[in-house]
Amino acid sequence: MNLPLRKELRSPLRYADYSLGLVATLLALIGVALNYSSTWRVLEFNGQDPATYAKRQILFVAIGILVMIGATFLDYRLYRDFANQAYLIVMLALVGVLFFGVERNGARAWYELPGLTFQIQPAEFAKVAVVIALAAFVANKDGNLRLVTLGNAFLMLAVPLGLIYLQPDLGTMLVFVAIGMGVLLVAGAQLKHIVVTSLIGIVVVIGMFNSDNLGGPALLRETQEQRLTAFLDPTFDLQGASYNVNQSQIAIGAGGLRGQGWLQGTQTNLNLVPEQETDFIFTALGEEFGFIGITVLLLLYAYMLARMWFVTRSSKDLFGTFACVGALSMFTFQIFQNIGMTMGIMPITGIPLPFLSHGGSSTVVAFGLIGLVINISARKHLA
Amino acid sequence: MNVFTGARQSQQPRKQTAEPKTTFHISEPWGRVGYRSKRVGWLMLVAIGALGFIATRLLIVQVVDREQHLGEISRHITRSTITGERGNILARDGSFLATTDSAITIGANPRLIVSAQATALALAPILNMPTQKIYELLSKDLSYVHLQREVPAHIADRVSALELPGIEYREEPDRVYPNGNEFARNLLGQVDRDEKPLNGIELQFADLLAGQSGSRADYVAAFDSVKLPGGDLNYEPPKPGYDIETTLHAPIQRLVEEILKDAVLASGANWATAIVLDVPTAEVLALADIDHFKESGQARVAGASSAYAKQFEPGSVAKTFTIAAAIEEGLTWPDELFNVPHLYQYSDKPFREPYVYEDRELTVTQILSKSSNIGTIQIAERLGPDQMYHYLRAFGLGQYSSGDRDNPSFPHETRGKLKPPQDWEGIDLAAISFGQGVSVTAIQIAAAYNTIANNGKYKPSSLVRGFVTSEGASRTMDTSFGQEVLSATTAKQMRAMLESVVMDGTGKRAAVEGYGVGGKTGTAQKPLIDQRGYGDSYTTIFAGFAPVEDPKVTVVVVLDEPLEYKAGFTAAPVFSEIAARTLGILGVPKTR
Repeated sequence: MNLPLRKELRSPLRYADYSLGLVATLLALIGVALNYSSTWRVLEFNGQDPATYAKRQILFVAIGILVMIGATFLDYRLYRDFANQAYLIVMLALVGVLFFGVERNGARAWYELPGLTFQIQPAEFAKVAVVIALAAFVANKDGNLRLVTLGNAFLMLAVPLGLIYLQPDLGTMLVFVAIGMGVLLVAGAQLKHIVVTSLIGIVVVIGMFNSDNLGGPALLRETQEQRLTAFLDPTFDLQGASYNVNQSQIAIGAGGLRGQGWLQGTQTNLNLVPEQETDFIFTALGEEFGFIGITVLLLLYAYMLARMWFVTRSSKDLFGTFACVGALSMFTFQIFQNIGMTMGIMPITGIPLPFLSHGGSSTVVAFGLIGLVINISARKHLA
Repeated sequence: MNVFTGARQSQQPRKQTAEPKTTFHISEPWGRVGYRSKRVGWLMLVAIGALGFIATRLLIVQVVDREQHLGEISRHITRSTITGERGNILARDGSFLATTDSAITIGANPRLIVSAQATALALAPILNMPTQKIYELLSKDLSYVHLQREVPAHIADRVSALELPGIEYREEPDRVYPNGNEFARNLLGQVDRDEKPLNGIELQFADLLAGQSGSRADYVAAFDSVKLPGGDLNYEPPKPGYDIETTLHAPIQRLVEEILKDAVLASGANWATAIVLDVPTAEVLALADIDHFKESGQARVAGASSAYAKQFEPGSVAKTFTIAAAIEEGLTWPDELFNVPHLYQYSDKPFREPYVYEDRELTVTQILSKSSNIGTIQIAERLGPDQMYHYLRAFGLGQYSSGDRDNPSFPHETRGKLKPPQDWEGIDLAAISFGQGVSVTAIQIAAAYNTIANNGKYKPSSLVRGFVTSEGASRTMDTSFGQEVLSATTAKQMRAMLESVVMDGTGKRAAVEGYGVGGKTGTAQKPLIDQRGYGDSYTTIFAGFAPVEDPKVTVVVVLDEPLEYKAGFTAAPVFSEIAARTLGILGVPKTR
């Protein structure tokens, strides 16, 4: 056995950033409380156990914590070896979901497994796979991003983007764009490449929105276009597309400084904000815990992102750095996009708020990524 | 290979670099990563900027626009009142005459209707409504429309079996009259679909019957104004209304209604009223008001009570009051002989005895039994206007049946017309003495004759005994009020004289087999409308009591404009039938 220096014999557990795991767990517990407050009333009315959602979320969190711990123990550099296989498997799952998935809210994005009360969303797992695969790919190129390499990286992103577009799930697509941009930026993509790609991206997006006006097929669904229109003009269709964002702002605004107290939020109790236990869970926090609650949440997130930044900087190898950057980009974007949309500064897209939104796949994936970052932090002394 | 530490030579990325590292530091290697750390810094700047942006926005949403948002929320709370259940109306035996049940109302929330057309087509045959009408209702931009109210349960079941989205069901209170909607309708009254009382006891005692409203505040969902679960804030329970205990005897009431319907159809009267009073208490055992719908040839219970609301000139039934007053005052006695001319000049008017063409000698009893107008005028002359008026008032004329001049005891009750004596002029005293120039209601006549039956003691008639509060406490209406109008002796003499009316006077057809009956006919010419004088139409009345020795019931029958106008031929037989069968129902032993 070829063992490195004595110092490295020390268990990685010594170096692991436990605070990240702690913050993640804390966030998840807040999430459980909010899951309960945003669903109990309706559940009770329907004669169900008012804690149905909360209990399920507790299960998800428990699984997530186990995954996080598991992800911490195996050396992260092993992930790099299996990055391509993982990528391939998840892409196959994304293909499969188009044929065998169940449809919800107009998107075919979930696998329904017999005997399970919840569904599995492969796109969430694709985030991890893409973070690892992309980090591994650019790390293998030693951060030497020539145009060809960049092209290959884009291709790696394009496959999941295309598959998710077919579901369709615009929000998740944007998360992949954020991951890609973060990793490639840090990996050393040249500025001119980034500028040109961004311009192309903007042209493509505008083209998609107007494809029907330009004589082509309608590439976006009507709801997607309406949501964007509603974002640009909040008074557009108050009962329809602008409804969510109006109601969620009312809820957050009603919270005031200290909030109305747990289980006391009017908007929350009335289920006036649609999707409140998932995409709009921030509004429950805003209404029931007010400015103070939101500040606490944002501080927790800020702490989490800051710790991830330190890990990014201190990682001993490029794969670790890039993987951390991927996770960092993902969380940053999801947090900003999700909270932003509830307050009308971002368009509405179905992106979960990490650790808080109800959902098995997203919760487990978030914990898994934190596990990966802890893993990297734990092995910064190794080479 | 140590999987746990992941120490794998081949995977060490820095191997290819020119100079292999020998020392390890946490911050190493800075080389390329150091350059990248700048970019990571950018990324962090972006993240910090994003958080800052969020914080700024939060300030606007939670602080600047807070009031507006709170206002929005208050729109989602509605306060609603819950009406307490209406009290019941009870018969004298405690059985329900009116009670409240719930009925189903089918409505819809047009905003939740998927296809107004399909829904209308599906509902039209079941609800028996035109498809177009349902379609129009369902197309309205409202969150609730009534489709049909008071829907029978089996129809509602059929509708709910269709599982149409947007169709709603509400249980609403529904007033039910267990003896049938027509039974005593004149007295009980009705309520409209919103439980608003329209007339009768329902209206008279609306305050007692009405429940006390409770209230609740509900949260209302955004689009559809649907009340949300568990949103009951500040719940105040409603209180049920009081039960009203009437004096009505349901079997007698039903009987009187049937008899009077037949009488109306047989006599061709416009309307008719019959009242049965319990003598000692003056409680109304039965009171029927029948209207004749001549176009359809049907007689039905009137929607309002003619007995309380219609006034008419009493005609000869008023002679009883004149004579009773004179006897009570000691101005005459039953056997006093009067020389009664067939023509008599009083004031500036010659009075003529109808169908009599010669002067007669009549006792006071005969004046009553033969219903002599001129004899009655002669007796009235001894009384004078003041005493005449005093006695008419004492018998309950010119005031409401409650015995009060100002408060009607029944909706739309009239107190008739009785001028004060200082306004009497010319022939007034003479006319009033035999029932002209004064108008009365049937319930006044009943109470007045009941006074004679009741040994001279006047009691106001009562239709309601008392009420039962929502807590179950029983309260009786104050009925102690009563006054001695005639001495027992006078009353007894009057009963004997009234018996002779039935024995060998104008009221022979009022006789009841097995019982002695006392009573008086009245055939009153109806005054012309809008001009002085009298026309050719008559109100026929019979007022009396039985058994004459110890009266148990007072019965008054009024028929308006029967084809055969003489009361002795129309009202008297109806009286006879009602009295006979009522005494039977009450189990009064036969006296002869």
